[in-house]
Amino acid sequence: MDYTQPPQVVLGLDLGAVTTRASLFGLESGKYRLLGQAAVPTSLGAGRHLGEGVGDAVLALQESTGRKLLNEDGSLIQPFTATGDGLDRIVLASDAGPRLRTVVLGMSEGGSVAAGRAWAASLPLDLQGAYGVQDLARTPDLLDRLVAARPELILITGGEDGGNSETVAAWIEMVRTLCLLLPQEIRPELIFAGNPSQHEAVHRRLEPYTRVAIVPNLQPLAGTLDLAPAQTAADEIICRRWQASFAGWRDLMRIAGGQAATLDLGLNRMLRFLSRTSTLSQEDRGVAAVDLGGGQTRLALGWQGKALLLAEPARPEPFDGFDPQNYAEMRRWLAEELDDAVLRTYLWIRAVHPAVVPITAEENAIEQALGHAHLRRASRKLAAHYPQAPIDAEQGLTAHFEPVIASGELLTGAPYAGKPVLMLLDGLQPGGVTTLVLDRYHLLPLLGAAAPGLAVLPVHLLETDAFQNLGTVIVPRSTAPAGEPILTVAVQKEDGVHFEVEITQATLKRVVIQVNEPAVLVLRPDPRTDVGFGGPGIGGRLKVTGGALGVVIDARGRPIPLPEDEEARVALIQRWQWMLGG
Amino acid sequence: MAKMVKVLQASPHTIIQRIRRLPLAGRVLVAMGDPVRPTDVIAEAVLPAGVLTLDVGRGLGVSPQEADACALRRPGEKVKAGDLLAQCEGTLTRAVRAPADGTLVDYSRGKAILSTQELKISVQAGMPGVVEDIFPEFGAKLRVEGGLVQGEWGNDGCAEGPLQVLEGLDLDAENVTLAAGEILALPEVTEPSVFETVRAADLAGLVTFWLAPALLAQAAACAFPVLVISGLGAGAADPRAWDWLQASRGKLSGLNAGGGADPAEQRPELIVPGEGTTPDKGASPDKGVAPVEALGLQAALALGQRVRILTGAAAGQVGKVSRLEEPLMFESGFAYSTATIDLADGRQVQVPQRNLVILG
Repeated sequence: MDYTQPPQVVLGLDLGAVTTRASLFGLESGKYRLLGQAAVPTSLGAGRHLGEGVGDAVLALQESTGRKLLNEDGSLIQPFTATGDGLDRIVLASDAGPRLRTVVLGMSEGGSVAAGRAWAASLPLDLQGAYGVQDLARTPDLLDRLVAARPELILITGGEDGGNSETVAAWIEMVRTLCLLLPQEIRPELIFAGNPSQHEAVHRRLEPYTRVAIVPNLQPLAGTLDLAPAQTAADEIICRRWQASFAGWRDLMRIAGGQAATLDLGLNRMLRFLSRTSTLSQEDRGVAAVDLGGGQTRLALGWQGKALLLAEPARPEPFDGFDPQNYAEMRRWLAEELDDAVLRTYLWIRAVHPAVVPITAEENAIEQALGHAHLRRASRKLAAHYPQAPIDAEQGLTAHFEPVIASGELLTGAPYAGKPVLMLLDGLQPGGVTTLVLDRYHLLPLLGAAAPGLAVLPVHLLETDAFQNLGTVIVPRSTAPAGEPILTVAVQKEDGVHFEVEITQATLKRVVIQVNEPAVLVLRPDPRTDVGFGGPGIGGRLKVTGGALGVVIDARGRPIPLPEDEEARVALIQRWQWMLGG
Repeated sequence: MAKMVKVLQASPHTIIQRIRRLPLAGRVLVAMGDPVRPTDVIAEAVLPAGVLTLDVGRGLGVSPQEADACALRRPGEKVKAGDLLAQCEGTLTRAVRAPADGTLVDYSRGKAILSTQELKISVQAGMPGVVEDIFPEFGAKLRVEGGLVQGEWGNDGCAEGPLQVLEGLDLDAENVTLAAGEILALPEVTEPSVFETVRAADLAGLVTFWLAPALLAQAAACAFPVLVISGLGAGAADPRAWDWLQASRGKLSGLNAGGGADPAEQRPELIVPGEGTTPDKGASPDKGVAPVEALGLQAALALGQRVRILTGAAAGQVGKVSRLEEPLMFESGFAYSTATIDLADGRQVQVPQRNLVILG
């Protein structure tokens, strides 16, 4: 492969648990753009091979773009030819492979162990246990547990740079013992992200028994957190191990020349990038991304140059008889009055058949409520993993995040823009002023996977209409009682049309501005109301470009209050849906 | 392009082959041609457990380096309780003995690691049949010719017993008797008392087409295997599967309620071997009748296939695919590729192809 010339055509393969997407990017007038995308069911299951789904997707892509990508024998045409056939490069990303059984060994529960948990939650890993210094006293029992867990990956962390090293040294010895207890073929790989004073001990005591990756400390100083190097190391291990356990991955890795990553790491990279580029001058602003796919829920914040990400399987846990808190939460967001049997039956089918789709209004209401519940739960978990992050379990996003980028079939497949907008507002509860953007082709994680080899691809693609502006959202926060006026919005359009909208507390309102139409909004909050311009009562001018829904003003309060009475609650949710065009 | 969708087998006569593998190398306990029963362990691996860390240096009153020089045993050696592990000569001879029977795993830095127990990881046959192939150190491929019905969900575990098939569990009704060790099949389970009846009668397992949603947690917690063929809710039993179950009444059957949650794994299933296939080696159940070729775990939808509808107004109903069509907008506002299904009552419904299960 010639890496001295920019590739003319790049094929991106996103292999989700439910859907395989093949995206074709081409260089036109010096900029990359999306030439086409095809989506087919992922070919998972006993006796199947990922290549089957990829083959179907590339065939469909060939048909929809009119570009010849495959030779007669079914192989890809590489490199791109003078006649316009084929492609130069392939980028591969997935989250559908087996989740590695993982153990975290750290020091303090609130420090390095918590950091290790956050690391594990940001990748397709199956965390079997996270242990701290207090667990070392239970060594025999713990060793038995570790043997029974048969971890494939262990992270040792803890001890700031130059700080305590005894606990980490004890964990090194325990991992060595574990390696001696387990047969060689199932010994765990190790990532060491702890006190650097122990690097030599890691080499000497552990390298004879297993593969070791040494990366910078997760917490080099008290109050600092840097998960990125350990995430990258884990991602390499995951992608390598999938070659043996994820049918077809090895072949795809080979044709992609090793340019592969998990979708989680791809999204992580993009959020770091966006945080550094779009909010560099403003320490109190960030970017957010949400992915509500059939197989995964991801919530990621780009904040102060770092990515805080939570990824978890999207299945609604039917086999434990439904978690009561999650179930109650989801029930509260239903826009239909449904009895428990109907609800539980549909949820169960969704869990057993993740590819199933809603066809009735009731099923659609359940999917919407499920999306709300997933987002709320992800918000709570993210807040727990990153106590320093501006996200509150109940209040939602407590700082300004712009844009909020949304993807996943539940959001992108909706028949009108109001559905994803309402789901994002209810699930994330953003504050201040933000823009909601729909990643219609689920490109963001794939672009992150492509970034190391082709850094301009994400830069160019982010400027295209593959990312659809859903609308600008203004969230006034006010201490006024429900029903009282709190804000006046004067709208000045370029065509000379001027009008004013009065916003009352506890309402949701839409201001119609046509798609791509520029306008200036003059916000005049009352003294009790903060619109994010520097404090209560402070207003200002805001330049906007019309999105699919124009401008949405969410004055419902935080947390968004819902009536206890089911009939009233359903009526209110339906009113909000109607307000946004549903 | 027709969708690949999940397949659930419901066949009165087919060749059933299943691979059973350990997750790590161990010992295979069966040989080619051996007959097996569902609960038979066909392979097992052993991992060390009951791990003890002995501070030999402290026991000897010497430094870790000196303790290492006093070792009398090497890693890998079996020891008995009371055996000397280390001893150092001095003014007073001091020694450290094994506190229990076990294996010395490691001896370094003045510490000895002793494994005193074993953790067995095993794989069961999960079906009646014969061993068709051996995977050295890992497991075997099993085979049987007979009938089977696969389900959407199982609560784990496996069992074997004569099949009892009842329309309902009215024990006061005439001719309804339950015998210990039987596997009971019912069209639906709507009352928790069914689980208690199965337990009290010491039945081997329970098979039902439909399970009331509120009973899922109880079914999951049952100590006996439970297989749900069609899903949660209520409805009619798939007539083909029901007829086959009735025809199999009294026959020895194997119930494997493991799997089901992961499409990549096995399906929970009930297998009734043909006459003479177990324990005799490989005899055919129906001489002269060719078995139906089994579909895989997934298959492409095709015209004429029997399917069950998963959601919508016709959820739970069984029908045949009569057309495969382009995307259609549904009431939900979403558009999907559809299939037209001919239902048993003569009606036709259009359903997203993704919302179907093939009944193979």
